[in-house]
Amino acid sequence: MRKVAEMLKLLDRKFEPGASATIDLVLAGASPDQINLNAALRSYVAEGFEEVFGVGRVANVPLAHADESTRRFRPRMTLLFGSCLPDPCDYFRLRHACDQVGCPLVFWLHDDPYEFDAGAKIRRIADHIFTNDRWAMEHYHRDRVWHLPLAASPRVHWPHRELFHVRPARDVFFCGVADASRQGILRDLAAVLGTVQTQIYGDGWDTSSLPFCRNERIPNDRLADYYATSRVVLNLGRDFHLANRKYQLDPATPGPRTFEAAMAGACQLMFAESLEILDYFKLDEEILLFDSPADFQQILHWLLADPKRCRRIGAAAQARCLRDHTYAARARQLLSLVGLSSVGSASEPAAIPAAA
Amino acid sequence: MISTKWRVLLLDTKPGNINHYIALGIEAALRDDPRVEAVHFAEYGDALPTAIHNHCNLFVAFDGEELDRGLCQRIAAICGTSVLWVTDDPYDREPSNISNAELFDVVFTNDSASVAYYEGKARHLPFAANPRFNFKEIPERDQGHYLYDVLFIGTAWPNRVHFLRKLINELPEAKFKLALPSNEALPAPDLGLAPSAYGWRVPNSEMCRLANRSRVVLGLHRAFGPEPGRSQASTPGPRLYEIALAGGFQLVDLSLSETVEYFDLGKEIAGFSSLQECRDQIRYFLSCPDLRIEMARAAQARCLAEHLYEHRIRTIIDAVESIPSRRVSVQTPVSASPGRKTRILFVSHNSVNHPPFGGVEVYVDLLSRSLPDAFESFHYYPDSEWGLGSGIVCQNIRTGEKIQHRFATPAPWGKVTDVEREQHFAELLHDLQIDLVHFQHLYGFTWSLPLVPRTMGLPVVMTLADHFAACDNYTLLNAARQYCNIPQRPTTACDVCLSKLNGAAAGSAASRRAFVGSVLENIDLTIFLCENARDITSSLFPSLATDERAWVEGFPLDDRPALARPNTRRPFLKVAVIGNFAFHKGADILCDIFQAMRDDPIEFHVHGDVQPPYEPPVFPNVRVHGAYKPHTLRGPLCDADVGLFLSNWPETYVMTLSEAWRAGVVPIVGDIGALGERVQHGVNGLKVPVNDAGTVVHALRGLTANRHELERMRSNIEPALYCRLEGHVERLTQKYDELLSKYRVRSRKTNFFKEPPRPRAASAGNIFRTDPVWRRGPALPHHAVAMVQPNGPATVQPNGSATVQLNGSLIRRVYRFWRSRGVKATVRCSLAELKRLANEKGGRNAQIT
Repeated sequence: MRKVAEMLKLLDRKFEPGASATIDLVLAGASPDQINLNAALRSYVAEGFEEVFGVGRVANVPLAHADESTRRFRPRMTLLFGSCLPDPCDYFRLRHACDQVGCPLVFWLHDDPYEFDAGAKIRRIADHIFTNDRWAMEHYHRDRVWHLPLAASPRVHWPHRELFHVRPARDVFFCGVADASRQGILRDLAAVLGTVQTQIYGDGWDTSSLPFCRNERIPNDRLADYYATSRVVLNLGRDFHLANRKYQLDPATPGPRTFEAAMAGACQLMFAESLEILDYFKLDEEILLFDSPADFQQILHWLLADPKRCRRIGAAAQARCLRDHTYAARARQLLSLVGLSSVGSASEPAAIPAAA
Repeated sequence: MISTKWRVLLLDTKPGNINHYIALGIEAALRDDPRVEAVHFAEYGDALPTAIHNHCNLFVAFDGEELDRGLCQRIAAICGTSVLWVTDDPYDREPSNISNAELFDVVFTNDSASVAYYEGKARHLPFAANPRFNFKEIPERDQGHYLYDVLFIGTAWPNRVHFLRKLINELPEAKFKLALPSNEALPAPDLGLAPSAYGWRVPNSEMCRLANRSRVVLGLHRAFGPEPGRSQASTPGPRLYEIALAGGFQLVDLSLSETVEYFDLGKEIAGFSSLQECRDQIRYFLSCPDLRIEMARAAQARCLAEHLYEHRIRTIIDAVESIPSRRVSVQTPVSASPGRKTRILFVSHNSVNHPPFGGVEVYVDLLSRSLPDAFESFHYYPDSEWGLGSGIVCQNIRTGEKIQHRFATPAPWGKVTDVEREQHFAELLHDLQIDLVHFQHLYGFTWSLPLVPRTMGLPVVMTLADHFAACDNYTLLNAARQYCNIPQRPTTACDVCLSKLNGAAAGSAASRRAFVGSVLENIDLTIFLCENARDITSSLFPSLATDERAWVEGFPLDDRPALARPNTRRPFLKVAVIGNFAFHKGADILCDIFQAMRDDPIEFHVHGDVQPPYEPPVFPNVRVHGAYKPHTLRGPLCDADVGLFLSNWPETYVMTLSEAWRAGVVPIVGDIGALGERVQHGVNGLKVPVNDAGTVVHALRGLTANRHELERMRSNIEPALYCRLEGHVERLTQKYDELLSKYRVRSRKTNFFKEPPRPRAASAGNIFRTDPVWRRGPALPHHAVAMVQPNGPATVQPNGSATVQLNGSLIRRVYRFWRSRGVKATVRCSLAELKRLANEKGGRNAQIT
């Protein structure tokens, strides 16, 4: 408990240039922050690496500053995290800066396979490419491409303590953009969802046919509270492709919401389009799968009739997430694959807070 | 060095191939074959350069669908030996696959029954499995492993949908897992279940994981084709092998009798011939888990032993090695048409036939007429009749024959790609059978244009005659009309500058730079005119600083000797001002100098076009000779003492400096760019600070008083200071020859130009673009730029005083001009300005100097 509290305190610290004599990692967005809707995710990655390298040893900067920071701090690695889809992503000077100081330039892409085609831009530039999707990884046609799923932040995705013992505010919850596949699944589930307290948030939902949907966004740092106060969290994969024409790849790896919901202690019921989820969470103990509306109905009724089981699954998923699926855990994996050793004090997995 | 092992170029013929994972299996298997030295996967955009640069000697084309005959012919001609493995017979057999087979040495078809249709050209080669994606461990026992009773994953062909709908009703007790993705060409599937339960897609690797955790995996064949005789293949598809390797127990439709040739019925797989039999078999095998697991294990072992892509690749390499001419194709390329001249296409923004022009146009004219007889030159440039970017001319320099074309879409200002222009260029390159393209300037074109010849397997040379690669504002003069020092500027600062200059939104500079940098990486030879230009460009694209494909070589003068200097001692100093009289050439500073030295014993001779808003200066000691034709400066310069070169931007070579030196004229230059780099201060000329009229005046007065100093510097001028034609052509053609040899232009098979490639957007392996436009945001018209300048351009008033034009509206400017200069001058200047604006229409002046 004390260890987690210390860790959370440390993670609140912002990067201040010059605050540390040694910077191990320059971390930047793969695209300019001004046009990056997911820029917040990078702060979670920074936290993860700070846990590994030590506080103050990660410089989290915008893309436009990455070359300058690399030259200035001479880090052990420069990592660009995010999406390289936008056109104003110019990496030539940064590549040169990395060559000058002799550090590897590493990309961790978080929108494969939906933006897979854009990866062509970095095929010759990156020393290592990490992709969030295992199937996409196979299609880069180059070496030193690795699979690294996204994760959750114990600081941001841990629900507020006072919510641990409150009565759930809803039976079923989901938050995400409405793509055709998700709308289709929800239409098929509508008859069941309409009979319980369901709240679906996000963008683009057809609220006329799906009255339990709301076209409202929930900020990522508040999402954990919604997860924590829902009996069951629906998990539906994304099917919204921005640049995936080259091989029309289907996603294999679950997205960040899966880990974020688990970190919040949610009992997740996931539509089984890929079994890779079972590499991360144990079936029926840490996550539940459904294959059809009939299946969904049956499992949901079991769960709603057995709140203890819901809580048990949520707690187990949370413990697993805290152990295996934090950004610090990913940072260690990344460093190991790049061939860099991790240094710093907080190399042990974080403990589960007692309140959980 | 040519090896006898195979260096394979692997191409997936179908862009957007949803089954590309099969090509990955083939690629891996090729790498593992001991007879293969290297495997290079490529897409159409970079297949030819990949084959050329890696000396590929075997071209393997996979799939066959959407095959680009023109490009495949070229790749086959380069590689020498070619293989096609079509994978969608019999559905695509006629007409495309059979017709395309003629382009390849060896052809394989996935369908045994289709072999005969190729009339001896094709052999049968079934699909296989790839251990990396497909292999899964099989459990010892049923308990705790399986999630589903029955699995089927496959396209929603109507026969499958019909069968499954009935089967589900026959087996209400079984837990089905179904995925039947559909497409627009198929009727919407209706299994009588919620569509979301089966309307989803899954990666191949995950399909295998699902198969591994399903007790029975159904094999249902496709019975849906373009016509009745071609609705079903005879050979099973890839799933049979993939599921076997995944450890799935398979129950297959025996209507495809060939299935049992690959796996033993009853030992490795089970089969059915009717719905009832399928139902009964499922029930039986669900009740016999040990038998089921044993059969799955046997099928997996059989697959590992016989049905991996490594086995198929062995067959392909065996076939290739049995071609009698194989050694010939690898080691001795077939000679192209003897006596054919090598065709070079020069691309530039203008020609010397359309004034005003600058150094680039002069160079292209000189070079295209000076290449050895082995070359035939063509010139591709915008047609001035329709305005820059709207139409194009391609001229054969020797015959004068012209091809003109007007584009349907507006000039591509602010764009880095333009499909219409790229496709027209590709057609032209093919029709004229161009062998090498030398880009001299891309002003008025899109930056994607060099990717077109690259995709077509032609060597690409690019001369960066100014800073157009670094910035759309090729002089690098910023909004304050000073050199911006771009190497030291962050991209964000460039955005602010471009925003002020032409209203470009944030991100525009990075957007353009990202694309240009990717294009430059695909150029075979980049020529800089001076080291300083290379330094500036490589500050943005650093690989150019060390890239051996970059070369510094100036523009040459023709080889005519200088005229003899008259041996007269004049009481006054004769000063030549050579080049267009424009702001970026130092016109403001020159105005100040003229004004300051109006009473000095100096005679200024201005050789160049006086461009609006400047008017010919009116001073007793200033003579304006106007624009000159190329190669006509020898006479005027032969008795000049000093030349002034006061550009305020980092010029990249300055041919007129070479002209001056050749004539024995001592230059005074602004210390910037090539001028600063080429002149040694006090040795062969003088260097002065940029935009510093006073220092120039001081230097001129010094030289007037001290003619010995002038003579001393003149005596240090030697031909080595400037690039001359003969040596230049020799060096350049040597570079051309190296590229032509590398690209096997003179030794590739003659069918290289047989058919045109398909129209396609210019592309390369490292390029991805969401938007053809780099300059986002509202672009201000060009004249508005002057209005936001803190200091407008200087004009010389009739009374000889140089004043600075005030900011204001165009009307106010015209009014002020009329008041000071009268009606005639105003009309003349307005017409010139209107002509210039009409030329720009999207914003720009055609002249690059």
